Amino acid sequence: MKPQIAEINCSTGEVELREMSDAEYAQHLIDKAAYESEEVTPTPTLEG
Amino acid sequence: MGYSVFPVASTGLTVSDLVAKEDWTLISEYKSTSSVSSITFSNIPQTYRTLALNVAGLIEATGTQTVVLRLRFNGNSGDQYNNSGVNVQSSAPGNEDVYNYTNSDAIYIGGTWALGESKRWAGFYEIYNYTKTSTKFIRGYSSFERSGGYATKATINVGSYREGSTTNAITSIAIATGGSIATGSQNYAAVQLFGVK
Repeated sequence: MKPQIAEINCSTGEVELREMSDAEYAQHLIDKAAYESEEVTPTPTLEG
Repeated sequence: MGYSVFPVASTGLTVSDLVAKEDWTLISEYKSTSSVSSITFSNIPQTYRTLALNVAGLIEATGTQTVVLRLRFNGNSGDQYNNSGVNVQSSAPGNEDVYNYTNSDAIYIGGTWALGESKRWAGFYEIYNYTKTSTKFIRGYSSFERSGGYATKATINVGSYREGSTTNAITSIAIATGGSIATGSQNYAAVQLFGVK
């Protein structure tokens, strides 16, 4: 089961909870791999 | 012979414009009732000067991982974002750092060392020039609780975004992690998007 996305439509106010699409899931895995690896990181959060 | 205190052109700003108070409107908000890995605002109205994003929630990683939070616009994850910022820890002086990344795949808005636990975070971000076809600018502040005895960290983020060869206004904003934004026993995340005139 793929992770969930909450999508808020600002035009209608509706909130849709849905599974990630294949493309979204592929990006999610890239993001996940990025923070799991040491080389990540345009991130401010690695411990000093 | 008189003169104008505000010598603006007839087609420019009026005195009323100059003294008008800011007008904030809640465009949409979301409070989670289950775990999600991404929160997206779509169909953002193009009727404001600035957008403001107010976020709070719990984030989680498995194992000894850092959870990184990202802002993306219009579904783009190409090299269209520039980031700069400062990290400040609540203790352990000397561990503060300054970062600058160009051509990134997102605006990085901080993160936490979660160690498989749910940790609290909060942030506030402003997005300027979002209706225009030129570069957009982002600035924000965030604070993260962390595991493993590491001090709470605060970040100050500034960045910019432009869609490569295209010049679109921002119509959608995604908060993504690669992990989980709202999780743990409370499954809690609250996000509000404001429009500012």
